[in-house]
Parts: sequence; structure tokens; C-alpha cells
Amino acid sequence: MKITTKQIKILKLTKELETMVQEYQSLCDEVEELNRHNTDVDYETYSNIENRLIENQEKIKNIVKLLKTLKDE
Amino acid sequence: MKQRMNITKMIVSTKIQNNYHLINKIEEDEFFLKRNKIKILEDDDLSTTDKIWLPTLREVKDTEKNERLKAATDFAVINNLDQIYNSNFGGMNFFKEIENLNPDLGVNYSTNTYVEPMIGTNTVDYWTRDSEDCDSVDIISGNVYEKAFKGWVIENSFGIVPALAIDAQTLISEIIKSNDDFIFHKKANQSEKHFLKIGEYPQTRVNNELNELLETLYNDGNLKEDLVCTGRLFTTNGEFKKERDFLSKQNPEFIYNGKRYVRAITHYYKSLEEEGLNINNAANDEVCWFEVEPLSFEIKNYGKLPPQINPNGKTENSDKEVVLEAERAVLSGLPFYKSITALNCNLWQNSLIRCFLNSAKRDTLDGNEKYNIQESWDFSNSGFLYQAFDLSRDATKEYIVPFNEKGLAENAFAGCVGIEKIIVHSEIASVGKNAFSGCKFNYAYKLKGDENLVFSRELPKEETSIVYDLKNISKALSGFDYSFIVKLANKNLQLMNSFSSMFNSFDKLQKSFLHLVDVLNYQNISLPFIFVEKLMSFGLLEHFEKNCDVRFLKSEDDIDLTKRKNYNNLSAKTKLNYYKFMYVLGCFSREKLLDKNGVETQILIAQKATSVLSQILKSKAITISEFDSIFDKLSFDTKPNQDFLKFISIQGKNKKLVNFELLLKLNKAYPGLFIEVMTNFDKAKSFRKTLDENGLPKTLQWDETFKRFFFQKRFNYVSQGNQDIAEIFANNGLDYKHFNETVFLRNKAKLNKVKEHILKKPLKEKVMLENIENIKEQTRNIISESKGLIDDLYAKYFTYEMLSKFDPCNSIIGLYTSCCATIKNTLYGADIAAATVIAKDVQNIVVRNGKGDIIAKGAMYVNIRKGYAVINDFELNQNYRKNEIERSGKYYTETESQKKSEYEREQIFETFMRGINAFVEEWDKSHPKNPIKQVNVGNGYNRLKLQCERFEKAKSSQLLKVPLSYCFEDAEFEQFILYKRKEKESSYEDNHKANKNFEID
Repeated sequence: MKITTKQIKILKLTKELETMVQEYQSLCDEVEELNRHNTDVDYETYSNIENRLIENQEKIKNIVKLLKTLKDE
Repeated sequence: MKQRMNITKMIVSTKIQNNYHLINKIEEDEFFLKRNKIKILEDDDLSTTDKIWLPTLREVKDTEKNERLKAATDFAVINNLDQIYNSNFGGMNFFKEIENLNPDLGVNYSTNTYVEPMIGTNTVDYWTRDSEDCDSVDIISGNVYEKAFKGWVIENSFGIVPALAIDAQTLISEIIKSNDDFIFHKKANQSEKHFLKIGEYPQTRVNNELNELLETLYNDGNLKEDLVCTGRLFTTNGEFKKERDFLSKQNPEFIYNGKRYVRAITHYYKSLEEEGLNINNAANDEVCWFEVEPLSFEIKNYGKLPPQINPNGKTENSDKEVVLEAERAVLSGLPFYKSITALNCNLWQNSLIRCFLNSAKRDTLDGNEKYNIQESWDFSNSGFLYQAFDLSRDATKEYIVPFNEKGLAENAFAGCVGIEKIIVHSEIASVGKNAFSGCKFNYAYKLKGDENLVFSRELPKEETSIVYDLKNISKALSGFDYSFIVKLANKNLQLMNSFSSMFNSFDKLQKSFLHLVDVLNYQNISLPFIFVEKLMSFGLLEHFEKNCDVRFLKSEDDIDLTKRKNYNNLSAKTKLNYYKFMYVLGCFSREKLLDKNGVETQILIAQKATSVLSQILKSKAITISEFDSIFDKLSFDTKPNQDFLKFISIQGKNKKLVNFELLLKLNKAYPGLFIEVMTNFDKAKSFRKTLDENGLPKTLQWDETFKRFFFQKRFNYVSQGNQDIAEIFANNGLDYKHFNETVFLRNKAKLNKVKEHILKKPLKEKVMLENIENIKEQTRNIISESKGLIDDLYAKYFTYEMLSKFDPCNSIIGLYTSCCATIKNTLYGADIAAATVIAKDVQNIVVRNGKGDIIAKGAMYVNIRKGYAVINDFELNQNYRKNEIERSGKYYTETESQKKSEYEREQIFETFMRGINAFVEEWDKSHPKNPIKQVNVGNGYNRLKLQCERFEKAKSSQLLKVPLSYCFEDAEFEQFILYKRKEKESSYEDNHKANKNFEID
């Protein structure tokens, strides 16, 4: 593998991770906001946020997995 | 011991006669022929009584060039033989054969292993006894030329090749008597040579295994069963400095397993520290054992000898003498003469070598009176002739130091366990280290009315004026050296000066010394002699022996180092520094502890201090060997401080000595801090109370307190504005001179309105770890496991930065990048370092690793008017420099493993290129009318040579100029073009295209 390719991979993965974390934070904020108005929020909205949190978590896990692979190279 | 000697003697005489042919008596004149009529000067013949001599230049010139070569015995090598070292061949294991060495390189080696001289490798320089002119003496050097050394008579580093003649008829009768082959023959090139073995001498070093075994049996002078001392000595010159007279060094003989060996201590002529090579050889003061073997002599006139010796010879007109020349150099370490200024110092008749070889008293040797130099050498019991050829000589039980010798050499009697008495005259002015090592004497005394000092195992029957009980002294002072007694008894001036004027007389010094010995023996305590010597040198002995309390060393098992099993393995420095720490801490102090109100208690400081020290050792916060590095500069002048003692004895959780450990931790970051706090504890404490920004009192934590105290102490005046410099400089162990100079540089730059950045704004590649840390913090559970993972990947991520000109690191950047660019350097690096601070058009571009450490740099000059930049070169921290074998920075990536290990160097270069491109981009934005047209880099000591050489080389007529005052010497003669404005994309882009289609799976 070429030197710059690996470096670029590391850069991209860490940026992806950053995006995912921000997304996670937004989701956490959304949840907090929902909790403040809990009587008016339906199940579907919570479920939607939950799915998005899971999806976000999966993406973060994926990124961590790729970082581990790069480390082992 | 006496009985042992008799048995030994018997063994010696029987064994030897069975093994080879030897001449037992040197008085038989018909055997050893005296040379007559040796021509020394053009018009003067010289009659001489020499039995042993050196070859003449004429004799050597008569031989073929390649036959002049001589190897040397190992014994000759360790006695000061010159080693001319060729760095192209890397480090040399001294006791290993060198093969296939090309003599045309002009390399001359001495070697311990036997090498056939005819092969032409591994030769030594050796003396002749004359020269072609009247003013000098010649040596034979290598196989291709002779050198005339005018006035080099004082050199003591050439080999000695003894020559002699024996009576042919006597040899014939020996041949007839013998059953074995007397003469042996060797073929080499087209010729055959003939050899004879007579006499014996220590020659070949034994192998490492046997060396270790013999030394174990030697057991520091307490011989184990299988090793027997014969009492015989082989004398060499213990004086290694030039223009000094001979000083005897005795090398004792032992028997093991039926063979005889000599124990000797090494000393090399040159310190082999060239070109930073890693030298693996026997160091100075190493013990080496040598086998005593028969001496091999070449028969020079074999062709002219009668048929009883040479079967092809003729009886008529055959030579009546057999001319012999040693096959190898058997000795070294003797100058031709001791002084260069003496008239006729180059004449053989006056030579020290002549006197020694012939085991003579100088005044018994004849010569041409007109040219004589009077000397008082007396080698009648110690020279080569006596020791090599008189095998029936007795063991030396009593040794009298010759009166003409005014000093005792280093290792003068080392290992001479057979000597029962040594008589040292009162004119001895110096005693070398370890002069008496291994000797076992019980007493040193002077007889009444006699100024000679006698070392002996027994007391004399006659009346004495003074007696030193050496057993008692050795018991009280571990590592005690008899040399001290010599200096004391002889009222040595040097001793007086070094042990200060606190002692008005030797008598007082002696009294204090002996009283201390009594005190220690009474308490059954031992102190290292090296510690007591230091007390003497600081004039503290009298106070110590009158006021010390050593009882408490017995109360705690672990603090008395002399009782430890590994005590002898500890270095002298460690022992000294440990006891010095004890002393300053108060482990010997009779003073009483004070309570909170300042009232004396009944507890001695010694008791408290020894208890604290015991806790320190038990806590394992510090190892014994660390005392060496931390307390090396601790001064004996410091008095024990009770407050400090109490401070470091404070225990926290789990009985940890929290304050002591804090000081150790701070000392690691700021070397020297511990000692400063310990020796100025009251002052250090005073920094704890200070004022905050609002002027209100505040109390600092201890670590901040000590840091502030230390910076102030180290750098005198530390203000808010230069605190950053103080921190970094203290971290690097630098002193106030460097601090002041750097503050001056920064102030000068500010005064001259030099901008912090050439670009007038910072340019630093963003460190993404901060983002990652944010992500980790935010993403908790999942990414917390990836923290270590990211750190590992990141450690290899390098970033560039245009280092602020006011950053303190500029003036000492060489410390980070393993180069000369520091203001304390004497080379041009100091000028470059200064320019990066004060010159408005020079700035460092640096590369940091993932931890933020600077690991590479390039000093960049920007010619604003003409729009170009020149980087002097790229310097790189040595941890990132692998596979380098030359100082120029060239390194190799031929094998796969070499390529892999140079991976980081490529990354670092990529980072520099990113930085250069970023700089050009920013510059061009702010200077549209005067953009950067070209960026070159110098190739002098460039550590990224291989990378830079991929680019276009600037023609010598088109090298970009840098003002001379900046000393960009690496860019003076050769530059490579890293960036050129003509091409839209930089050379970097052309060579390294990024993968733009990369996608995450």
C-alpha cells in the first residue's frame, strides 16, 4: 500500500467518526428535547430516533473496525 | 606459603625441561655471544657488551619488503602497542583475527593472535636500533616503507623485536643431545624460513572462557585450590605518558593444570573513539591472562651454518655464530629514550630499551664515552634477558622499589600475591591507582631511624617508629587502597594539597584517620573508603570522626550497603553518592531533633534519618543505582535539614512516601531539582506563599512551589513573559547562560520589530486528535474502546508547522532534531539557530509527531524581493534515522526490512512537502504581485537525501543565494528544486498522486 493512501484512509475514517459522533450528539439533543415535551411525542417519533441512534452506532462501530484493520497493517 | 613455593619451584623446573629446549643459565658466555664493533656513527665504531639488541635498519633493508613484517604477541599489544585504526572496517573486537585485510590501504594493525608475517596482514611498527642519518632512530612500519622519526625517541608505542647471537658449536651439542627436532621450518611465498625456540615469555592471551576461569580462581588475591602462584614476575613499563622515565609494573606468574600463566592489566595507547564507532574491545584496566610460552626466533644466517645445523650447509667457512631475530614483537611500552631534549638520545648505547633487554645496570653497559648519557636504571633483576632466559630464578618474595623510580605505576603490584614484603623508599611522589590490588599485607611500618615504608605480612623484630594495621583499616574502610598509606607515610605534597588546609599537618590528618578506623571497628561498621577520601578532600574528616554517630547503620538491615551481597558489583560512584546522600540527609548526625516548638528532643537526627532512608529503600521508589545519577552533584557542604527530613518522611495512602516521590518525579522532568530543594529547603519552602492576580495571598501546591523555586534558582530572573523559556530549558537541563541568551534573542527580535511569522500569521496543520478526543468523549461507550486504537494510528501521523520565531525551541532545536542547531554549539548551527529568531526572513518549518514533539526541521530563508525560498537542509531526530552508516546522512533501503524501517522517513518528507505547499499558497494569496517562484533545499547533511534527490537538481550556476551571515552551509554547493512556479502543480503532486477514488466499505 502506498504511503499517502494509508494516510488519507486514516484521515477519512477519523473524519467519518467525527461526523458520526456529531450525529450522535444531535440525536442525544433530540432525545432530550423530546423528553422535555414527552406528553406530546408519539412512539413512532421515539422509535425513529432510536433507529437512527442504532444506525449511528453501527456506523461508528464500522469505522472503529476499519481503524483496527489499518492499525494491524 | 613458603612450603607452597618449594613445591612450585620443583614443578617448574621439571616440567619445562621436558617440554622444550631452554637455556637455564645466562652466565654461560660461550652461548650468548657479545656483539662487537657495531657501527653506530659514520666514523666511530662502538664496542658493546650487549647480549640482546634490536635489528639495525641495514639488516632489515637487506630483506625482501614483505619479509620485514612482524606481528606482535598479545602480551606486547596490551603493553601500550600502537593501534592504528581504520574506520572503514567498523568496530573491531580486539581479540579477534582480522582476515583479508588489504595492506595497501596503509593500515597497520596489531593483533593478539599469531599471524604469519609473510602473509602481509596485521603488522606492527617496531624499533630498529639506528637510522640512516645521525639524528634519529628508525622504525619499520608496514611492508612498503620505512619511516625516519626525528625526535620520536620518546614514543612508547612501538614493538620490540629482540635479536641475539648464540655460539654455533654449543647449539650443535644441544642438537646432538636432544631427541626432538630442534629447529623447525616454515614455507612462505617462495622461500623457507628456519626457527629455533629458546627462552620463554608471556605471549598469547588465553580464550575468554579460560580467562574467566583463571580470574575466578584468582579470587581477588585469595587463590583457590587449583591455582598456584610461582612468585615469579615479568616486568613491564607501567609509565604510559611520554617523556617520563620507566616505572616498574610487575606481572605475576601462576600455575594451573600444569601450565604457566601471567596475569596482566591492559592499557591501550590510543583511545579508540573515532567516528562514533561502537568499539568492542578489552577496555583499559581489564584483566587478561597470558600463557608463558617458548620464544620463537628466526635463524637469519641459516644458509651459512654448518651441516650439523643446516643439512645443506658446508663445514668450510661456515658461520661460527647463529644469528637470531624474534619472530614477533614480544614487548612494547618502552621509549627508545625518556627525553627528546637530551643530546645523543637517539644512540643505541644510551637507549632504555638496550638496558632493559640486557637486564643490566646502566653503568655496566659500555659505550663511546663522548656520547654517553648517565642514567641510574637497574634492570639486573627485572629485564628481559633475566626474565626470559633464567628459568631457575627464584620467586620474588621481597621487592625493593628501585631508588631511581620516583613513583609507583598504576597496577604496579596488581596480583602479586607471592610478594611477602615491599619496601617503598621515601622519594616516592606518586602512587598510581590499584598499585597494590590483590596484595595481602597485614602491616605497613617504618623502622626507627629508617624512612623507608615497608609493607609486610608480619611485624619486624626491630623497633618501629610507626605501624599501620592494614587489616584493621581494611575492615573499617571497604575498598581501602594501600596507596593512601604510602602518601600518608611519605607526607606526600599532593596529598596535602588535595586534603585541604584544614589539616595543618600530616600528623593531624593521620590521627583523625586512625581514630575514625578505631570508631568504626568498635561499632563493627564499615564505610566505603571512597566516601572517607572525599570527606578528607573537603576538610570534613576531623569533624566527622569527632561527631559522627554510626550506630544507627546497624539498626536498619538494608541501609548499610557494605553488607549487601552485590556490594562489590556496585560502581565506585554509586557507593560514593549513596553515602553522600546519607551524610547530607543526616544519617551520621549527633544533633537532636527539634519538636514543633523548636525545643530539643532526645531523638538524634541520625536515628530519624536512618529510619527514613530505610523506608525509602523499602518503598522501592528509588533503586540504589539511581543514587548515582540523582545525587552526583550533591555537595558535601550541606548540613542536614530537619524540616526536609520531616517533609520527605510524610506518608500517604498505602504508606507511600508521597513527598519524596513528588521530588523524584519533578527531578525527572527538571534534572537537578531534587538537589536544589534538598540543599535549600528553607528557601524553596518560601515560594509556597505567593499572591494571585488580584494581589490576594494564595498557597501553591508543592510541585508548583518547587518548580518556581527551581526556575528562579537556575535562571535568576524568571518573569511571566519568559516562564515558557524557563520551563522548556529546565526540562532540557540547560543553565542560566542559555536562558539569558535566548531571552536576549527574543527581546532583540521584538525590539527590532521582527514579526513572529514571515507570513504575518500562524500556519499550523490542524491536529485532529483534538477532534477525536471530542468524539471519544461524546460517543462514550463505543468509541472509548477505540481510544488506544486511535492513539496508535495517530502516533505515526505527522503534522507540519511554521514554528513561531518567539518559540523558545528555536534556539535549541538541535536537541530535538539531533543536529548542531543550538545556540550553545560551536559550529555554524548556532548561527542558524540565532537567525531563526532574530532574522526577519528566516523561519523554521518543523514536523511534529502525533504526540506533539518536534522531530524534524528545515531552516527556511525567504527572499521577499526576488520571491524564492531556500531551506538549508532537513534535519531529523535520530530515533527516525535507521540504516544510516555515514555521517553525511546517506542510508540504504535495499532489503525489505530496511524499506519498512524507512517508512516513517517517507512520511516525514511528505509532511514537509505539504508544509511547503501550504506556505507557498498562503504567501501567494497575500503577495499576488510577488509570488514564490521557487523553493530549493540544500543537500549537505540532509537527512532526507534519498527523497530530495528524486527532484531536479539545480545547476551550480543557478543556485539560490542566501545571505552569508545566516550560514546556510548545507545549501552552499548543491540544491534540489522542491517547488517551481512554472508548473501549475508542484513536483510533489507529480510524484505522489493521491487516490481520489477511495471509499469506505
